[in-house]
Amino acid sequence: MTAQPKDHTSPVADVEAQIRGPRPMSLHLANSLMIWREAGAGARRLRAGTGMWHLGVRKNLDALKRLMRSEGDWQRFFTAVEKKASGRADTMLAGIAKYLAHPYRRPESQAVEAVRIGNCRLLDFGAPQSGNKGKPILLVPSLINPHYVLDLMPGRSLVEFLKGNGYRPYLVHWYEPGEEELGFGIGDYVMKRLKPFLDHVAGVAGAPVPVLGYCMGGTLTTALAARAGDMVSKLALVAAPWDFDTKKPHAGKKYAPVMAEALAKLPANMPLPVDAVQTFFTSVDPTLNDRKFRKFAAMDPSSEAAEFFVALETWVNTGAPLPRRVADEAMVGWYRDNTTGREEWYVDGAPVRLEDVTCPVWIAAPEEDRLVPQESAYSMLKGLPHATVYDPGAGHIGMMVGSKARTGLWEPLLKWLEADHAA
Amino acid sequence: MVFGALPQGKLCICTKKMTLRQMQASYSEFVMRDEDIEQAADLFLTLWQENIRLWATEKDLLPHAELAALLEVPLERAPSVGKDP
Repeated sequence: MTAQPKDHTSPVADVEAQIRGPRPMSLHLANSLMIWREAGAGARRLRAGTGMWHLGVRKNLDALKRLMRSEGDWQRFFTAVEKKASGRADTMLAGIAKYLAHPYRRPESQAVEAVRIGNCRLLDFGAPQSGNKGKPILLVPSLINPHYVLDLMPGRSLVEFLKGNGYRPYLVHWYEPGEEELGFGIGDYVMKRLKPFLDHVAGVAGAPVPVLGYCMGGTLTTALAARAGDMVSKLALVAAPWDFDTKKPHAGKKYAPVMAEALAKLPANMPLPVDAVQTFFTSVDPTLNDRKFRKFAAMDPSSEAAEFFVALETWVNTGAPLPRRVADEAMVGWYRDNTTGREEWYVDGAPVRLEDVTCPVWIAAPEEDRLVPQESAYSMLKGLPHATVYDPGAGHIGMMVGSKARTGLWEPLLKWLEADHAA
Repeated sequence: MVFGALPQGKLCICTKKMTLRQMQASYSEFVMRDEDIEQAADLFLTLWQENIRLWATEKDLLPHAELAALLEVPLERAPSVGKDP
């Protein structure tokens, strides 16, 4: 990524500067502090043979227990556990403070605005003045977090990689919903935003273009390809959920009824607050935040690892409220009622059917993704029997920006994009 | 994972390069050495957190109230293996 210093006088910079998480801060702190506060009681339960111990730790705990041979050992052990638990809580808090004070700010992407419709923008990373004569490709991120996970920072940018390999990336920047978007359903985003953006990119190319969708963006681009297939040459889906009624239970399905209940209590037309979605992410693993901030506390602040942490953590905690109809469709329609998998998700007045997607399709979905189960993404094979499936071998976000992203996702994607898929 | 059960059933604390058997051999017959107590406490805390992570994975989601239910079990409650909190 060729980057420039961020303009902190812009409203966007002001907003993003205030959004440093972890969000919701109160929930993260409550979880982490409770975990360490209760550790001493946990140690006593270990001795008493009570408590809720998962099978995965029981053998090690039993071995640990056998080390204690006297009352004195146990009492010193309890004291040490409580002291060290308090220390871990302090380290976690120090990690958060260090993150909040870290001077790193992600450089703005070097792109020009090609099209703006409502509050949504199409960013062109290879405008003519840059001399880029690459092949146009449309990249569509999720509506949940910001677009720039696809161009996070130098060396961790799919956009940069594609640009360096003969492509001219166009990236959708959903931005905060404006007055018009606040009344949108998901289908409106597809037909009134993505479709005109695709028109523009295909117009520049003078031919159908490849389209990539990441996460929820993949589900949107599936509908786009079904509705505007004549302009899509290839469809690459990265961790794109489709069938939510998987055999294996998943976090989203469990959270859907909670979200449905919460949505029903919100005032009519009130967008879904960012923190409601962030609460879901937090609950997938309530220990993650503590572990990563304690690790960050020990990092050299000037290291690339520390800057990557700050960039990614800020991205994770940044988001826009979801328009109410979008939230209803996604949380209730998709996750609870599986409208997509049952082909009852309506876009432009008709259900989205996979048989209407006629271009070559690549479905990348990692087995270890806890947000979008691989089974949900791979379920598209039922309607797209000729699609290619691929496991990037990393987590939901790690596969896109982690240390193995280049070999695990970007290079296999490029190879597929470059292949001749003619039957 | 920074530790795990060896095939022989012996615990290995990989980060410390020390097995439980070595720990057992390193303290006197009657009283654990301070450094062994410290090490045992560190190991317990790692297992304590890992226990929560594993439950969250098994249950798919562990909201705050369920986390509290998991952590604040009364001392006298019987152990549960593989059951929901």
